[in-house]
Amino acid sequence: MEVQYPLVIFTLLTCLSVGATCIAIVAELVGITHKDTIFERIARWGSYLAAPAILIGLLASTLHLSKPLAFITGLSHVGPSWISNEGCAGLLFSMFIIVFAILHFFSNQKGTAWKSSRALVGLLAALSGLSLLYSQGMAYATVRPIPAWNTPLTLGFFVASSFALGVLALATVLAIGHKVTRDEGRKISFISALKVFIVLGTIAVVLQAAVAGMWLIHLKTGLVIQAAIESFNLLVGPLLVMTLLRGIIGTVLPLVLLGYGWMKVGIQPQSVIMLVIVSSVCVLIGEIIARQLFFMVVIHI
Amino acid sequence: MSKRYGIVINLEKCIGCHACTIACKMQNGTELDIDWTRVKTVGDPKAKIGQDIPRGSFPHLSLSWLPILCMHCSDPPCVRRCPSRALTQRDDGIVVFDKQTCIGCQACGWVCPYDIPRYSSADGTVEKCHLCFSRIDRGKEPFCVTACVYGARIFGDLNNPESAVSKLIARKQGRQHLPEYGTNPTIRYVGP
Repeated sequence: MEVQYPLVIFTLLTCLSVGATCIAIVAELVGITHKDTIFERIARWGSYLAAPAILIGLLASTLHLSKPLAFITGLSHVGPSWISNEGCAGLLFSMFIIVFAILHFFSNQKGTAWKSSRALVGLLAALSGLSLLYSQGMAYATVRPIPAWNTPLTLGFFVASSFALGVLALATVLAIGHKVTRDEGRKISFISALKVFIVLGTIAVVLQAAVAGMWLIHLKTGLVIQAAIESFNLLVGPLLVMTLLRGIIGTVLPLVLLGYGWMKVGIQPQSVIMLVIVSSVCVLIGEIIARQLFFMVVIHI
Repeated sequence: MSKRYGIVINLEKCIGCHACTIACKMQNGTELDIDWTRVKTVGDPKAKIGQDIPRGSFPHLSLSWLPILCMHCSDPPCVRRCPSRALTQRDDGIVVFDKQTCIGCQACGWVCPYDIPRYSSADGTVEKCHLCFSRIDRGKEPFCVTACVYGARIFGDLNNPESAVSKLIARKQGRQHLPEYGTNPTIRYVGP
């Protein structure tokens, strides 16, 4: 199958947006009881990252249609059609995350009631985002005539991708936005947050690699259907270079960089910031390659 | 009981002449690269598309043909999947499409086990066999059935046990193509 680039962009940005939102809402909820401003910063920047990402993603998804302006018609079959479910969840998610971002933008000096409302909106954004992620995964995982997609691992791929992209993209945004400060309290908070992001990022990349490995095994041995084995043969044959690039750029490099960053974070936080940023870029490139492969290995029965 | 229209294809009679493919194109005015019904050659697996090469070695050779068209399934995944409801199923079981409503997402082509829906680059919509329902509504048969040279295609109501299709299925143990996908197609095959 030809690579459907509008769908590559849509799924990539959906995963990034939902991942960043989930982390943002966790920080938002923790920030209600903890005075440290780092939680509010994570939640704010998470919303600033997630909102435009999902809007661009939804726009890209309409470009996949031959009648982009008729995308509303594509919401007519909610329930049986995972694509309609995906569209509705996408619109709901974008609405909630935009409001969440706006509430953060105007949040200076606001009281507890404001923060509680914001937390509620954020929670709704996270739930609708997870619903979007689930619908998107199921839209592919339920395609029975394409064995390369027809597995629960497809859903696992989207979840792992969302985790990795969300964590590292948010870490990047925070790292870029961090300024050297004489306020030791803020600096220590940022370094602590960076450590958490490095750990989460490492777990996410390992999870991605595990899902990819299980998927390869599934293609080769899990099914008797010839189309699945042909997909595997494509990955290790004509597409071997891309497969290896995906592994090296998207998994090995980020793990090395994050591991090195963990060792240096207490000593040279500024250089660790660069390592986190480069890791994020590597994971992003790896995800783009992974999605290209996702379409290129399609063999219809 | 409502009607359930289908076609029984007798593989003993199909000679792979492709008259059905051409007749369908004439009747429905499909584009050059779009076939609503097609005939697959069942022979040497190494043969390229369009080559009628038998499998096996002399004197034990075999060559046959498998006409494929929309199966008009009882549980059509394309209808379930279509986000704009451009694909719908009539009461008589025929799955039809509406080009005005279709948004060209091509999801129906992904989920069809028989790879039937075809994307038309001319207007960006999907199209497929609709069993010539306008002819059926006027009491006629689908054109591929009429055009079949050796009468390999029989059309009728599967819900009517006295119909020719029902009797043929019963007599010759008519079977479905790819039944494991659970879509319960109305197109049946008899013969080897």
